[in-house]
Amino acid sequence: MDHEDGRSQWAANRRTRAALLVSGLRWRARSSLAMFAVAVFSAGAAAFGLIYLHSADQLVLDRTLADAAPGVAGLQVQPVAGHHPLAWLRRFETSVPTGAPHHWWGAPIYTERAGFVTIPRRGITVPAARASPPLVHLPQRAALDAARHGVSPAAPAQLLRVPKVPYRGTTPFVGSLVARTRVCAHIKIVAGTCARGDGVVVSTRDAQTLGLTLGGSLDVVFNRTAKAVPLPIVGIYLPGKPFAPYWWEENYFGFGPSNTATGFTNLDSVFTTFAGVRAAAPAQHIYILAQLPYRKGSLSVNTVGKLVSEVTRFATTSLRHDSVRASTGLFGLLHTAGTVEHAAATVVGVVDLELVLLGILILFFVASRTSAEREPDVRLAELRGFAGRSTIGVALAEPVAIVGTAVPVGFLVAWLVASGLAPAVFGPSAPVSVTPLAIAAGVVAGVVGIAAAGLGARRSLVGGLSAEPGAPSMGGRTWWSTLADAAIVVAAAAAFFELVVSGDSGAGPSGTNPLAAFAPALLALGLGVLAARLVPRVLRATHRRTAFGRAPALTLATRTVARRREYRVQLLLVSLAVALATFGVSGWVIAARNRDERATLGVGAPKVLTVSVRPGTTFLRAVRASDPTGRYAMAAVVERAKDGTTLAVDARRLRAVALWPANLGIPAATVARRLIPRNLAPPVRVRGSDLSVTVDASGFTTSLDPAPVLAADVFDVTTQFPSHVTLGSLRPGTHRYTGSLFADCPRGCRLLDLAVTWSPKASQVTRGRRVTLVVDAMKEKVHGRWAAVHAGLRDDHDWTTLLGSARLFDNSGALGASFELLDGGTLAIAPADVPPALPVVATPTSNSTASGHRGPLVVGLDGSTLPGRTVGVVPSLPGVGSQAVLTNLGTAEGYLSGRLITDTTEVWLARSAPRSIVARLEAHGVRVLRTTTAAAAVRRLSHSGLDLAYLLYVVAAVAAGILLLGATAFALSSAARRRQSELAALRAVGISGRALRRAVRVEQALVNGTGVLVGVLSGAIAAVVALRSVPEFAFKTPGPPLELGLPAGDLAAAVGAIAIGLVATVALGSSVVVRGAKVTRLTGGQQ
Amino acid sequence: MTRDLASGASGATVASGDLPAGAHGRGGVPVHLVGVVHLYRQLGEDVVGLRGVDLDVGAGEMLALLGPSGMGKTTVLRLMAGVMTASAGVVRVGDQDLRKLRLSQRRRLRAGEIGYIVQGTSANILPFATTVENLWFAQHGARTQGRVPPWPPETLLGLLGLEELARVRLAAMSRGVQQLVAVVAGVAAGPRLLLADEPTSQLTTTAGFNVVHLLHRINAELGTTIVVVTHDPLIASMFPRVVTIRDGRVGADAIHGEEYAVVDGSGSVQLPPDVLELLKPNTRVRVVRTDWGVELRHPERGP
Repeated sequence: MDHEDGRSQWAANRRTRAALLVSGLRWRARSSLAMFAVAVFSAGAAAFGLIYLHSADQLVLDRTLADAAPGVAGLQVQPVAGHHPLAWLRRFETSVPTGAPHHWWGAPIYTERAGFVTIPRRGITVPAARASPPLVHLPQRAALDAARHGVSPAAPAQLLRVPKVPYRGTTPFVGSLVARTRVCAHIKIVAGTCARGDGVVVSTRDAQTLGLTLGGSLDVVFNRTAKAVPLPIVGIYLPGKPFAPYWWEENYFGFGPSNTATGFTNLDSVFTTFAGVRAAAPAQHIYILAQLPYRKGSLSVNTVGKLVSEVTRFATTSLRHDSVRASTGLFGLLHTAGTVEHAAATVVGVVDLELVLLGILILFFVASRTSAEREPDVRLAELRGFAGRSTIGVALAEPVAIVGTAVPVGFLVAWLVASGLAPAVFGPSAPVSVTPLAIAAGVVAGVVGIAAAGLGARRSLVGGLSAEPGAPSMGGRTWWSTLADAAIVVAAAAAFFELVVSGDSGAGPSGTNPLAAFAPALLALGLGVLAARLVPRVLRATHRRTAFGRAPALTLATRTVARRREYRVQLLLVSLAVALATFGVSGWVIAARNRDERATLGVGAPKVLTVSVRPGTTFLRAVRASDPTGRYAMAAVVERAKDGTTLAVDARRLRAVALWPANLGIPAATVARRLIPRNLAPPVRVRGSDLSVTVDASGFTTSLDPAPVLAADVFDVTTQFPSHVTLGSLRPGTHRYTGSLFADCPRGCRLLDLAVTWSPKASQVTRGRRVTLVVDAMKEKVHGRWAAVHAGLRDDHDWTTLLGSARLFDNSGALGASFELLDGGTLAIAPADVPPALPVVATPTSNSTASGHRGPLVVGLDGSTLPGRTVGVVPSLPGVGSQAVLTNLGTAEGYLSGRLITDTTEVWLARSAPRSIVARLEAHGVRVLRTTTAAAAVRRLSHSGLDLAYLLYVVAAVAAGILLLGATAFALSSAARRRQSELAALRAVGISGRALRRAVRVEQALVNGTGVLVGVLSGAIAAVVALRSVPEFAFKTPGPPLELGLPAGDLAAAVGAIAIGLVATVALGSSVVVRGAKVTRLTGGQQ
Repeated sequence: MTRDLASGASGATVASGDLPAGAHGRGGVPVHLVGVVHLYRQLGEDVVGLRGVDLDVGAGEMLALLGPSGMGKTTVLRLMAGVMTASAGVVRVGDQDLRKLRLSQRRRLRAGEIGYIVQGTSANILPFATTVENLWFAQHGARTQGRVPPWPPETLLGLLGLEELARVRLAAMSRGVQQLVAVVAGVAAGPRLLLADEPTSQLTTTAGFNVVHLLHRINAELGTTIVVVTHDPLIASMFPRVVTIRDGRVGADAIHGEEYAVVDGSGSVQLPPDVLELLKPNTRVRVVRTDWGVELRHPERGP
């Protein structure tokens, strides 16, 4: 026929086909819209996760780079030694705009610097220096301990003293003549002008020290063999902030004695112009540098790869062609950000995948429910003899069109939602963009959605016209559906087993198990399939019991649920949605809990005050006086050394003040009890101007040369100055020895020890002989009067000896000590007012070194090395982390034999601390320098990349709940027409509407109730086994074990909300269904 | 057409034409059923649907299959449509033995040679589409099988006097008019055999008559062989030939109002119900040959 020929007919056919498709979609508007909504959700969820992740990644990247120092994030370029710098500089200046990846960098800062030496024209005295040559201080007690235990003391701490260094006129000063771009904007000119021409500006300190004046000159030498060059002084400046970003963490203001062995004194930089440097200094002595600060916000996660490759290429090319070395710490920062992003991607990936799976299952559910509506079309196609492929096309055209249309709409919705959320979650300027990866994810979700919709629509393809009356329906149990169910159950079991066996990733992302992403879905599907198979059997078993019961609703409901296979999918759906909600809520709450705990543990207490202590103030005593109740303020001292950190706190207040998580393993009260030693002798305190000791010595002769020396060591606890009191040469027989207390001990000094020192020469004479000392009395001279010291000499248990071969004994009310002389040395006996080893609570890391006292070597408060005795091991310690020990401050102070040298002196405050505590501390000589709060730490960590990722868990839980309610409403609505006919028939035989309504509700209760139970169970199991595999922190930082217990209260609230929603939906839906079940329906036709 | 077809509750009336048979169509095709037996598998047991049906339908003939529900009328129709295959016997449409054809081949027959209108209006139409779209859809089977429909939908509607229905959506029509469209859709692809299962059920009498008139017109215009299943003797009486199916067999064959018993291939004759009142089952009868045929005589009551 002619009319079928030609292009116009082909076009007409296409138009008719399209019109039929649109008409069909409109005809089935409700189901079409439901499917469209779910498809939009699936595609949108897949895209949203990645859009969200992209924004979170950008935020992490921006913050990482913004927080970094310029010297780390920026690009620094300098010529290789031996190459002519100025020639390169000219080339670089012209090449930067085009040759370098300049759009990531701000305006370059050029620096030209030449070191010089200057000799002042008059003798001066160097004022107080910031850093003086270190004095090594090894306290006697520590030395004795080290000798006793056969260990070497740890690296001695550096005592920083502030000496006056007299300049004798022969030691030169060293400094740098510096030209730096825009330098005058960063220093304060107090006299004269900024440098111009070959004029220089010097610092006030330089000027004062060297006697320089405006208009004068500074004579400098750049080369030993060269003549001095006069630099005209045109200005005097005050040094700026040496740590301001402009200076790139390089100290241009290092005035003071040098740390080097030369002993030269450093000057602040002398600034001039670039021409000034080049005119004054020989070219080969000019150190040249170009610094390109990172331009904040210029780098996006999409351009990281480009930046890395361009910078690498630039560095390679510059090195090869210009002998210029480019360096940056940016790659390390990018790696750090990448680690966070990787962890966040894992977290987002898990929940996003779950959401997509849920969406696809609902899509399948909707498609299978709506396939009945399209079935007549398919049957008609078969009737009209459509070829098989065309019949399939009739069945799938609408689902494919719906899902295909939904994918771009899903992108749009995802973008809109992300844009709406971004300002609140990421900040006002957070970028939100649909990345290629997000598009790919959405398309994949769409394709899988089409497959799911097709699978759901297969119902209309099976059976068909050839199905004979009475033959099993297409929904009959087929071998492949059993096989599919078995496969799901096996996969779920395998995944569960795998996660249980190897799912623990700890705190870091390294051990992330990809199965964690599928765990909730797999478990929910596996358990759901089992429940769906089991529930009908159980209900069938109850048929006999309910058959003649008085509850027709129960009778009808059990039979309906047992008979209708459509409830299987609904049960699976409910299981999956509730499992996802359970998993999401658990994941978010657990992550938040661990994050908060880690943040607060990092601070140590609700509020931590970093303080300075006024000289003459006893810190511990001052804090106790500020809080006499002991309920809200605790003194804490942190001593950091290379090998570890010692945290000494007022242990009695630990429980009341410190944030001590339960999962540290040992309760705070127990820790406090173990840290405070018992049965110690009281400290022996002496005061006044002199000390005398009566000693009966025997076992050696007077012919010893040199004679042994008796001395005492005392320690002023207020001024923290130790004193060595020489009491005289020891002689056989009973004698009284007297020495002067130079420290004068106005408030009392603690007696550290009594010691007798033999020279090796003397001990050779008496070698092998046993020497005995009996201390009969100890007196102090106060205001010219001698008084007995309460030294506990009558009880040898109140004293101890620090020499292994020595023995203490009670000698008729006096303290006796005997020992064998070997090769010289010192016999020291000391009051037993400190335990042999410092009781510490250690961490596994810090507990690795052995002290000989079942504990580690620890650093004392004066920098000495002390033997520790471990009284408990915890994974991490509040405020100081995992490579540290905790001890009692009072006990640790007992070991002090030198000045307290602490990195940090802190006052920890409980939440209940009143505001007046600061004033009270001030009144007691403790000044607050800085305040840190646990809340701020939590806030800071709460805006990290991972927290943003975990926020998606809540979104997923809410989305799952909404989807579930929507799907339940749709299930009731889509079945309404058929159910109404059935129910009308039941009404016709006399069953009341109330009973029918109840029957529908019981049906839904059986299905949804089982689904909710299975969902909660599988979600909870998934949370327990899978969350271990999801990183809680981006970096494997030390801390207490992660608390992965299920949050029962939050879960109950979430599941309760879902249950209430379900009950309301079912109540409403069942009423609508039953209201439409009128007997008159039975008399109506098919339309 | 006497009034608005789209809104008329009583449906449209179809003017009966007096054109020669097959003036516009491809003509009819004969149908032969020989010893057709069909078994249903129901609840694990075989149920006999047809017990040996012999039936010849001539090309271009109009035939009504009459009988109560469950007697096998629809089964006969489904076998003729190739929707099912007979358990035994021969079902021949034209020169095609349907039992020997594969499913796809039988489907191809329905795309062009056989039009089948199943029971229930909604099963034969797309309610959301217009009449033209429905006819296009009905012809699309032929297109998918590589055939060219013999006429455009509008032409067919004009041929049958239903052109006013062309752009009307079926959901807006009365059921009677919908059924008219369903019948037209049945012949949209130009079949030579039209099978209609209870085309007048659930319709008003007038609407039913209109459907029958349309079938007559189709037969007249296109020369199509038409087999209609009905349980309504009045409707059946409007067809020139009425075959009664009882208990899975051809019970009677009435031509122009004259009813005949039919001797099947095995020599069995199904007696009319009123005769069965005289000759109870298992009654022995004497077969007497006479000059004008055969008489069945009760041995105890006759000579």
